[in-house]
Amino acid sequence: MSSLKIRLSAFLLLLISVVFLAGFSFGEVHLTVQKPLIDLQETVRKSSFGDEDTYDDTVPEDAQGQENPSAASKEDSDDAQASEGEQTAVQKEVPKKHTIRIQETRIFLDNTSISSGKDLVNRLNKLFKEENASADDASAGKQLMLVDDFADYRTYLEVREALDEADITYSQERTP
Amino acid sequence: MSGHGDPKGLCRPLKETSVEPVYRRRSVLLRPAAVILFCAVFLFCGAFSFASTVVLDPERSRIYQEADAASILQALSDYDTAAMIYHDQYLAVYGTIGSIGDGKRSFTLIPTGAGADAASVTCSISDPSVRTLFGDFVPGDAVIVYGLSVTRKLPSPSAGMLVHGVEKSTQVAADPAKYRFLYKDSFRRDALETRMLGNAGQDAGGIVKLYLPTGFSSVESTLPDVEGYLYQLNALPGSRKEEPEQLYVFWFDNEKYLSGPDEYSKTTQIEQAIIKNLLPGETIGFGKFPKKRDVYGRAFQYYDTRYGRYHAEFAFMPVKQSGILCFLYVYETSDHMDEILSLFRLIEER
Repeated sequence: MSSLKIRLSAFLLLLISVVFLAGFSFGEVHLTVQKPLIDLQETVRKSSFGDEDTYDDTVPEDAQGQENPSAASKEDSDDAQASEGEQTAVQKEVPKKHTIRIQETRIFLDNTSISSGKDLVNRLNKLFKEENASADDASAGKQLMLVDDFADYRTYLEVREALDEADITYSQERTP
Repeated sequence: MSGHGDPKGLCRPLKETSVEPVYRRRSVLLRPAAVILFCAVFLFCGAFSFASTVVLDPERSRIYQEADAASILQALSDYDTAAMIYHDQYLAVYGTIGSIGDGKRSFTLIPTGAGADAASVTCSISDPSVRTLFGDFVPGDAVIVYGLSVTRKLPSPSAGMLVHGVEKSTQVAADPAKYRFLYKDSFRRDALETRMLGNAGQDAGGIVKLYLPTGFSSVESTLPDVEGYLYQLNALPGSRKEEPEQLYVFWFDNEKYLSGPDEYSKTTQIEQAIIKNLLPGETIGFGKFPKKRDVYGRAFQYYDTRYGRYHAEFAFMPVKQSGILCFLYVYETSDHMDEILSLFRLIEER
């Protein structure tokens, strides 16, 4: 009799355990959509650079066409004149602004390669001086626009820090 | 051995009897059962002993709705209605201290301007720090009492407060549309912008009504693939940061995203599926999911994980069989918790 009770108890225990474990294993629900409901990678990536005021998904077509670092580095030797046409095209979309693009580990100012944040500030000051305006003279339209590809966050921070230290005003545009 | 020191054979080996095979059978039968039981207990313990680290926890910073002692006491004439409005609610009650009990463990709160023998709300102080703070108060002081209100029907209808905080007040009348953080800011519900979610939101009347904290609409963007909004909190005025602090609020429509009504009640599994959908590349241990809490009369289920270098916290509020109101909070530092908690506080189901 007691043997029967023990068997019965063991069987019930097994049954309860199986049901319990089945609840964990087989109760999975699959959504009818495969695509993520929210593209977190995109939204988190964009937001990590702040500055919502200047948020704009649209990037000038010409700016998008200048994403090859090697091509841009070739232009280093030719200086800004070589890319004058492209720069003009960018400035058609965003007039009176200089564009800083960050790609991989390189920084480009209006397609001219920059080696560091400090170098960038020096070049900008030189550029602004040539244009007879101070670096932070927003009224003269000598503003900066950061067009970043977010490939290198450290470089981005370095640029931001350098610009802040030099009191150079800038806005920011993101690549889509 | 039995023939020498053990003449009665007490020390001889036990003869094999029919009991042992039965014991063996039991053992064979019980061993897997014991293993399964152990696994089940382990899983149960894992599920319930989880100490969540979520910051999206309304209990961390409660929000109290303004009320006054006079209104509460008047409402008791119809106990059921009074209980519906005032029982188990976080309130900031205006009134005057009537009397103070021994050891500052309790006091009575009477309506402003009433005599000392007037009906009162009984306030209990269990927190020693509040008792210390209460040391400076004397009968006749006009105060705001923060706490959890309790109503009792027997022996006669009465109201009480489990006190979380007390402060002196120059304001006499309460404003029921006003909400207060403990010793901190206050805000008016009717001054806030609202958003509807569920059944395509505003146009269809919506299922859930949200009251946006001040400034949220300035950092709001509509989510493209699901009914809901993104709030870019690190872009709020005065709080620009490099690192993201984002609150996603969206409506998961059961009919739209599930294959059939038989799945509508599988809330936990649906929530797990949502998390997997949103974090497709992440390793997620659902053994620790979810943590439930009832705050302000609503049930939330929480889950926290990492998303890259950021914290990602989920809060799910199922709404009948219609769907789930989902919150996803992505942050490195949580600088706008009070605002988010005020959003949680004022959710309305329709």
